Amino acid sequence: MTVEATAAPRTMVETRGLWKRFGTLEVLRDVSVAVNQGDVLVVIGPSGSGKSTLLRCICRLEAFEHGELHVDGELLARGTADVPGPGEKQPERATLEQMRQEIGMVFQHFNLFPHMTVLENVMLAPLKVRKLPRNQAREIAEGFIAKVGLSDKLNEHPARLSGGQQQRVAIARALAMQPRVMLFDEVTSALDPELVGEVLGVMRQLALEGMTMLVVTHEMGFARDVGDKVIFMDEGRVVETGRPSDIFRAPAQARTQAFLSKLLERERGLSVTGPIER
Amino acid sequence: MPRRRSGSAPEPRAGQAAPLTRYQAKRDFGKTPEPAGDPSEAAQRAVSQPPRGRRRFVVQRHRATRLHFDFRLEIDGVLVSWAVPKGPTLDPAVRRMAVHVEDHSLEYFDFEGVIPARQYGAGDVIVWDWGIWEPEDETPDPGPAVHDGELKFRLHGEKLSGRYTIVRTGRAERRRASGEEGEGDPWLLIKKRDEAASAGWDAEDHPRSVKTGRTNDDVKARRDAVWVSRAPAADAEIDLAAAVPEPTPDFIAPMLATLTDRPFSDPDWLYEIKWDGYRIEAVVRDGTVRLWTRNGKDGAAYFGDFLSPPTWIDAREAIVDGEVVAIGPDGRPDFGLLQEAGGRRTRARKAIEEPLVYQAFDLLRLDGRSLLHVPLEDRKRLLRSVLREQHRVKYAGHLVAEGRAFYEAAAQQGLEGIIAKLRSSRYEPGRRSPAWLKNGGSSAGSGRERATGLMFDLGPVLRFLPDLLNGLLITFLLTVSSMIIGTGVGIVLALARLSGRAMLARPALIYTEFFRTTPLLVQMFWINFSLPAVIRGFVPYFDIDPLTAGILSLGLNTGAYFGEMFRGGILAIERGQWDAAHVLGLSRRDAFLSVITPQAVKVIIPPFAANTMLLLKGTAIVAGISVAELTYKASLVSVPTGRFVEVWTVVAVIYFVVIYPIGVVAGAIERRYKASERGARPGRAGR
Repeated sequence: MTVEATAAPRTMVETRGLWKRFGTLEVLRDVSVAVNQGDVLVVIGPSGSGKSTLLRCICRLEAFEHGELHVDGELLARGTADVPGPGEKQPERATLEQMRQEIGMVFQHFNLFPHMTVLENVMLAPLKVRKLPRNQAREIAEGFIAKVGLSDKLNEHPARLSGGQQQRVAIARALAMQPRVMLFDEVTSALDPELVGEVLGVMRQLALEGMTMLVVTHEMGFARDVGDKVIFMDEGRVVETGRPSDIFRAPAQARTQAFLSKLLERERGLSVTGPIER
Repeated sequence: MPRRRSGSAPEPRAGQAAPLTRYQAKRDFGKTPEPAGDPSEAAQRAVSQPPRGRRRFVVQRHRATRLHFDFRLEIDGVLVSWAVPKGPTLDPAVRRMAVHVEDHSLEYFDFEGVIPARQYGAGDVIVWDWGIWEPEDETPDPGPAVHDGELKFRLHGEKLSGRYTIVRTGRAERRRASGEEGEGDPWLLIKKRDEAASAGWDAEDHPRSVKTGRTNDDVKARRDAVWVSRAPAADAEIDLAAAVPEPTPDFIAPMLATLTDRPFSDPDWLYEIKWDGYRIEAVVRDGTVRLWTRNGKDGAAYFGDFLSPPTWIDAREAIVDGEVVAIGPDGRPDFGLLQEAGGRRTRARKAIEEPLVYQAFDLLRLDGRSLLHVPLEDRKRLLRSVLREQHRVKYAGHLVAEGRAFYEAAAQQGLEGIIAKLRSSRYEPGRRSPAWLKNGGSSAGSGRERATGLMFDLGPVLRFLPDLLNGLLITFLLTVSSMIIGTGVGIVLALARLSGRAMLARPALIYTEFFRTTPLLVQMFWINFSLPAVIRGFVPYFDIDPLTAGILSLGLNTGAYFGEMFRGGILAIERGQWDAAHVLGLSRRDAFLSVITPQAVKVIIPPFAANTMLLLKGTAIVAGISVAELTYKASLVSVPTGRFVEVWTVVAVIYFVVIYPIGVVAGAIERRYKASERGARPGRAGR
């Protein structure tokens, strides 16, 4: 629940008791999170804690065994091993397809289509999924490419771009479907340090514009400045939830504390002064 | 069949049934190949009795529920028939049981074939013996004699001959009112002692058809063959599997020989005298003969009707290839004399046929079937069997293997030269083929010995270059066709294996493993030889020509490899590409077509080019089923020229010229793809 709720806050994404396993390894254990419309939820935690899996479950790249996923009040998915009760409704396929378009995702390794130009990358989904006419798709794509500041790279292939530029194209590509929720999965982790800032800048801008975002990141500065809520995950469980200011200043859990101090050490070691505002 | 007539005056049959009623009632002529017969015609024939001595008989070996021999005598316009389980014999010591069965139509006389399952008498039938017969003086009128239960007669067949008696020994119980009189009665067939008698003679020792030389097994397998009884046993059977029914063309352009400068000896070749005459094709049809020159001009203008009527050939319809030769006073062919004869004929139409002889050396058609695809040696054997040599027409014989000796002998005789012909070759209309080689008048060199030296002489090889290039064309055709088939099959296999559904993936895996783990050569043999035989079980006379079989087996085999290549190309694409397409909302199909495939194609280009090169060279394997591709032509050419090293070197050069550009083109395409990716690689900071 947001702290500065003005009117009745609308929950955009909610997971209830998600359980997910790969073979015998339980990667999500009873994970329940909720993000209100316009909020930024930052997920932190050590690697292997289930952060990425949580995002992949939300955008339906992974199925889960137990629990429920709701997006904007609609039941989008139910655990594959759950038996629905007599009165319970099953998610409809049409809703599912519709909702898939409402959630955009950006990956650590960009996953741009290397055989397409920047423009083609961004136009593909509006053309194929929204079935927009070419000129309209192009207009939309050019708009979002301009938004991430790459209007001069329209006809370049991804390999010609720097990592930061590629990641910004990936963000534009996700935005072109005009989703209601954006998921960011360690989107700066694969970047050279000097390129991190430009990507975070774009994300900051999005947050200001009121985009609902779930962000998995190790950028504590960003989490502190932009996040409305932070959750700390470890070994597949949500260990701690709270406002960034509280968590970073005075984590309630020992594990959170340990994680944060280790992270702080490493950042010092790398002599990174923190994210650069554009 | 009632035989109630008495005396010798023929009259239409009386009684409860017209002739052949029982015969027809038992059969469904929509389903059996047996002749229906025409009762009114049969009745007609009964009135016009065949002249004494012209009555025919036939014995058919019939493998039905039980093996038996159908012994049939032509009497009163029908074939009066008995089933003889152990077969007629020449041995006077044994008596053969015979069961009287229904009369058969005269059309049945030469019936040979398969009666389909569930039809009356289902099984296979051959004409085991045939000929003419005559009643003996004791029973001059056979109709009443059979009715009375004893007939004495004399057979003149190819296996059976001499005096016989057939006598009724009892009466069958009347089973049904509709049963024909005498049907089912037991009789005995007895050979009388005479000059034709032979103790211990048994029908089963003589299993072949006198009509076609086939056995019952051959007929069952629908194997076409003829039996040349005059030829020595080992050569007697000619496999005519390659002979195809076809309407008669008016003229088939003659196959021409390539000039070569040295005679050679090779067991795969046969050698004929090169006649110093006029090439003439004789087209025989229904008692007429048309003559054609090499260029399709009317040969009658030169030689009139000296081959008419076609009493020189045992055929209703045939096309014979040969040479008209004028024999000089010294018994040798004389071209001058021939020109004189031809010239005089055009001018004066004077009969000077005496010195003209037609040397027939090839048979292109016989009675409705084209023989162009039958191997030369079999065509010649068939020609020899139907030709009735006489002073105007001779069979042009040949010698196998001993080319050089034959050449020298011909030279000593003052003959023009010899023609070497590949024994297994097909007839290639209008083509100057390397399968036929003529030695000109030049002196007999020492042949191959000279060529085995270190001298590299391309001259004779280059003369055959057009032929090698012709082979290259076939090689191309094979490569392109099998790539197309292979690509299609490969895509299906790759999709099936990637579908994640065992129902599709498993058969695809089995297909792939089967084609990758068995030798291509064997697959090709299966498709060329076994597959048509299997299909023939459903579709009679089905056949696959070797080129099609070659394309099919190369294509199916290539498909297995292409499938794995495509699958590898698709699997090489990062999982993240699928993820990105998925979260954008793309359907699996769109993701596959727009995102994955274009990238997979790039991955596939190098192995695709490599596979194409291998395939191009690999097509050589179809030479194993006599498809005349490049290496096949090369082996053909290397024998007469004797220049193995040179021929194969030229072949290597041709392959190089063709294959090298494939690599170049593939490289260029690959570079173009890569061009768009040059520049910065995505930065990856290890964290």
